[in-house]
Amino acid sequence: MKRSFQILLAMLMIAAVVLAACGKSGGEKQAAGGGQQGGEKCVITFGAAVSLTGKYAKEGEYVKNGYNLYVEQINKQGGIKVGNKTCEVALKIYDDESNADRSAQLVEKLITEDHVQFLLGPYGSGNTYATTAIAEKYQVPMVEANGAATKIFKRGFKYSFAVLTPAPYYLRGIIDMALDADPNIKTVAIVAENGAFALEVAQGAKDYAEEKGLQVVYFDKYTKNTKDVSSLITAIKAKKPDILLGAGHLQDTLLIVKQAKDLNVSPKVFGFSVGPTAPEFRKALGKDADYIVGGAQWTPELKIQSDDVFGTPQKFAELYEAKYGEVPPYQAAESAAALIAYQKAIEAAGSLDKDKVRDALASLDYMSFYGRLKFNEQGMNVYKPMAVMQNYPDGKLYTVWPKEAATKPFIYPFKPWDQR
Amino acid sequence: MKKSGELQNSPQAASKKVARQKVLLGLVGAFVVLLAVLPLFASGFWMRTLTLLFLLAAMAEGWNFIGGYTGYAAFGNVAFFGIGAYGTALSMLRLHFPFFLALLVGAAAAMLFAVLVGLPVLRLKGHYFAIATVALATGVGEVADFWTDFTGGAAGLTLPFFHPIQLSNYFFYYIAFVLVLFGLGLTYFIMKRKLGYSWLAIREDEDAAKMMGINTTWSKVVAFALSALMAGLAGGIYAYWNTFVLAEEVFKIEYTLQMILATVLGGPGTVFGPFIGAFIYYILITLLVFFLPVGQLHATILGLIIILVMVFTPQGVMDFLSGRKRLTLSALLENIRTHKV
Repeated sequence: MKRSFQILLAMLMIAAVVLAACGKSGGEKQAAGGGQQGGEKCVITFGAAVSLTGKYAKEGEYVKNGYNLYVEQINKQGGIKVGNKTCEVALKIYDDESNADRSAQLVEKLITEDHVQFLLGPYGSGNTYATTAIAEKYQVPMVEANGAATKIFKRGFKYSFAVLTPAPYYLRGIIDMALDADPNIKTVAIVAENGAFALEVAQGAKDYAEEKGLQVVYFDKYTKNTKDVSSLITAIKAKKPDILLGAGHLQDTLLIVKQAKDLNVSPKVFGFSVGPTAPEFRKALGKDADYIVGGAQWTPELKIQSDDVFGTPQKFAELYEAKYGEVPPYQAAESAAALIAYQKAIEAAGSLDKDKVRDALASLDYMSFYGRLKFNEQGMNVYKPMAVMQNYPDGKLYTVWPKEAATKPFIYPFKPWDQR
Repeated sequence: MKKSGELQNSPQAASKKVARQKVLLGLVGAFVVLLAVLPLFASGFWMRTLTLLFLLAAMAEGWNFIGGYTGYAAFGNVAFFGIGAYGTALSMLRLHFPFFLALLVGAAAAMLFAVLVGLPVLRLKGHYFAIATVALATGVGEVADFWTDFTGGAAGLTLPFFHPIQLSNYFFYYIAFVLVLFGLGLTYFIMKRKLGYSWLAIREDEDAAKMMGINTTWSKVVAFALSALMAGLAGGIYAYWNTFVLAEEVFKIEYTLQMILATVLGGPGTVFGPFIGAFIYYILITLLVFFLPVGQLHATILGLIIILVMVFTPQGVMDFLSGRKRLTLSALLENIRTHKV
């Protein structure tokens, strides 16, 4: 009886080890069988670890939807052209549980066991930071769409690319728009969540505001997951800034708006990097959401004509709504754009060779439904401007900046809390 | 109860016990050899999984000193992991130390911290001690997150890659593996000595131990510092392996929970318990996540398994492996009746 338990445990341990060994030989077979020379039919497999559970479950779902929508559309056309044949596109996605350790483990699995040809990014700067290092180790390209922190790209990596506009650019659109509406604006207050992404957003906004001749009268950070920012808001009230900018995430954005209302702090422009464009923002705040602006990587109203599978932002939104039943968030659009960047690079390279595709990505310059796709030498897309959206008093969100893409004019100034 | 009483007392049972220990030692030995040659066959994915598992096992071995042998429920050991990670990273980046020297600096910093906070905190007992350690870990994490000039703050620290890059998988696998073996050896060495016995005495009855002339303060602080040594070394390896340090990653409470879970699953207060427990826990998680078609239910299933193991074997699987109890239905039911940890 007792021995049987020992043997059981030993078997369990040995089984695990054997499994580990098998994983490799099995994987190698797959690599030989699959790949590009497999007869007439060829398949390009993209792999990604995305958060489907945990704190980024919602955003992760948008990312996954974006990837899937592209794959569905491109396969309708037969696939991606590689030289003179057309390859079908396949996707392998795992759940990283919003955990950086798991994310790294999964990407290592995608590369060494599943033998995917190219990698797509996870959601969030933390996980992207961890997984780009794995991609670099194995020299497999990774085009990511949801990690905006520039420090990801300051490590001299050759195989990482990001289609989205980097963090320091997030609030530039709001500053440009405010100055356009009223050239007499003088002062800015900036508050940021103490996190890698938010701090870069805030610093970028500060630098840009100063460059534009504005005076930054307040600049401070608050703890992640904070429940009270009233001391910061009180300090800001004394400074009477023309513009109040917040860099953080949805929950702290809601908190800042509520406490600004309680303390009757009414700047002329009230804007955030992330939050005001999410449907939850209006749901949580009701009428208090009116006039507040937010930066957006992409909006369905942008006026762009492209020859990619979607053609226009409107067409993308239509397809997305038909499939998933909601207006596409920008996370879905940028995720689909990552695959478009791959498609154009593979077509240009005429090959599935990892290094050739990597070089083609580095020299890519293409106008997609999502915006311009072009990377600087660090791999960041600094060529696509950020849009700005405003919560209108009619309860809807409209694109108000850049002017050429605006569906409604920017309402200026912010209506003070005590006059509502 | 009667059965197990018989087992422990008769001379026949004693010789059986020795034989069983030899079998166990042989099994573990064979397993260690297997792990040592595994990188020749394993894929990068399995190397990463096992490297993380080894780091977890090393932390669990460290936790076993204070939590298992000395009986102090430390819930803040992740602080040592984080300090080890930051100490190693900062020494490499600011002082340009080679990795191994930096690793020692990180571990020494973790031990120093354990001694400094251990002296006051180890005067607390039971829940009070547990709460104080949780608070400590949270506090240290906050300091790392906000002391931007020194730690880099929330932006974190970036470390260079290990060179040559083709060998990095092997390097980190073996260094983590050696750390686990070091932990096993250290545990075995201490538990044969007066220090080890003083820990057991403190766990059973601290006041009585004091009466017998044991310097309990010193013993407890050493146990705490040695657990910090293991976690600090694991943290330093983790930092260089992942090439970055972020406060929110290296101070997350999950690591504390995992090391406790591994120790308790395997058997607290045993030499091999934490190692075996870490293996069971981590392989189970990996199988659930990657190989069983359970979708997103894996965390639920894992939780269920852990509850079952805790209910039936509160002393860990070492209870049955070491021959203290037989794996029978009556022993399992007995465990539920007397439920004690």
